Amino acid sequence: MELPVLDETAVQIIATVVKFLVVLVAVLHIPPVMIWVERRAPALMQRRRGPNRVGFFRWRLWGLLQTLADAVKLIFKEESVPGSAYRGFFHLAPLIGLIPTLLFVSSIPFGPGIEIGGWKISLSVIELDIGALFILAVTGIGVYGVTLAGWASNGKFSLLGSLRASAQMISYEIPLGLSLIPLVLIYGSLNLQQLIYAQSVVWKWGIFLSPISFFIFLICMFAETNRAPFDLSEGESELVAGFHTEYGSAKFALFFLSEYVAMFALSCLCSVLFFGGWQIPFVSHALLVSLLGVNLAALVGVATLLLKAAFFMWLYVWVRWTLPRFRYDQLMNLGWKFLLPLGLANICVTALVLAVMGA
Amino acid sequence: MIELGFFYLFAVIALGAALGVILLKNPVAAAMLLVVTLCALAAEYVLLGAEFSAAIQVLVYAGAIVILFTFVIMLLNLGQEEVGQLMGVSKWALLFSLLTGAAIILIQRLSVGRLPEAALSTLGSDNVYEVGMALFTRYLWPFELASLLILLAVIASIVIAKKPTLPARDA
Repeated sequence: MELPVLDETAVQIIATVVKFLVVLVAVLHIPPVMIWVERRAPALMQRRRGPNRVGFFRWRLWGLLQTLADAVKLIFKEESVPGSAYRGFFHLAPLIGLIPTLLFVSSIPFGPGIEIGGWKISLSVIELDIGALFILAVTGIGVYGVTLAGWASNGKFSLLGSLRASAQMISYEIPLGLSLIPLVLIYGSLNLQQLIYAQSVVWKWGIFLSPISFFIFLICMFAETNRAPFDLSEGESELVAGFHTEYGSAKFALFFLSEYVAMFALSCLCSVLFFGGWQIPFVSHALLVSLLGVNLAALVGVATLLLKAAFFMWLYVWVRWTLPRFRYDQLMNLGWKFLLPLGLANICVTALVLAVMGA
Repeated sequence: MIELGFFYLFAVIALGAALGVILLKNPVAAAMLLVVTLCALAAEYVLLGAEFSAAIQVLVYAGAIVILFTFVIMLLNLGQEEVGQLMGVSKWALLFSLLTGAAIILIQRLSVGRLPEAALSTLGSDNVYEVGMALFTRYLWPFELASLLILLAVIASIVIAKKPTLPARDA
């Protein structure tokens, strides 16, 4: 059978759909694995065993199947909606929270381009010249899921939790955005793929050229995802579970999913901005291409980025079981009175240095 | 062709959502539809080749301003009754907005061919660069003045919001 002739647009549309599906399916596998890590890691740190029973006969797979059992349980649980809830928004909120995080992941360049049948296909679902700005815009929208969930539940714990969470996310978006500007100044692009190409040598990595940006970004990474030590939105000793108190079964699982996807996306972004993205340190991409060919080299690139991101995912868990929770006023002071001025000063100093060096 | 189709699709979404913003009685629903309107407008900007404006639109309006609206609505926790009282449209307001709308359409109709057409293709592919160059060379002074104005507004709002400290009472 003769294949119909494809033009550039059609190929790119098909490629985008396929890439999005791949990302979607891949992303669905993050929470189960991360929940497993999040149970076994503290067990390791606290000299316990952690969940290790679920399995078939003698094969227990270090408790990996426990999360599978949890997922099945969550999906089949009865769903309850509080009588006083605003129903429409109550059902919509988890989805509204998930979509921006999926868009965020979609804009990450997972590797250099591949070539299939002569067509060049980039390895980010949506490659944009304004990638960094797009990510900031999308994280801005991400707040609505949390806000709506708390309001629609129409309960005190939920509302207070969502107010806390959204105030925190809005506050830390600003230093997050400010921490990106020095990198844009240094590398001269908002396109994430070009930012990666600009970090071709290890000493040109973002962490070495703008360490303060990395410092700010790292703190904001934790605050944006409402993770410990900034997990005040669900401080269980005060607010039961914060904005998702009233949620159960599959909708609760959706909140879990978007939290972990957001963590993954920010981990990827951190590797892209500060650690050379998909490039292996001390090995130039051209060398890899000459050894393995374009497509295999791209796959190695994807694996490298995922490894780097995995480190930050581990860092999330590590920090959670190491540091105690902040108090709310401490959190706000840190964001507005320390990170914001620091970020502004960082931009001014970077711009000055660049101007002096350029002159 | 596809682009034109999408342009009209997003136009319909933007207009429909905007109608919802002013007609719905539930304030949170209205705020959410405002977000939809802004995002649909951003999509139109992208279709017109102004990606930078689109990103800023979503970042500033949808991501920051409307979220503050939502905050206020949630904190006030307006019930249906209070909203109902707020919703009464005065006849004068209705008349005024109808007249304004008619005037705008009239001016637009009369000025066809007299005003220069909106230039669509002035923005090159590197949006951010073009906007930056325009803002920091040709339009530097208006830009700086605008930022000064916003700074003034910020300071003024802080002064207004700050509670006056009570004078120490003599015992």
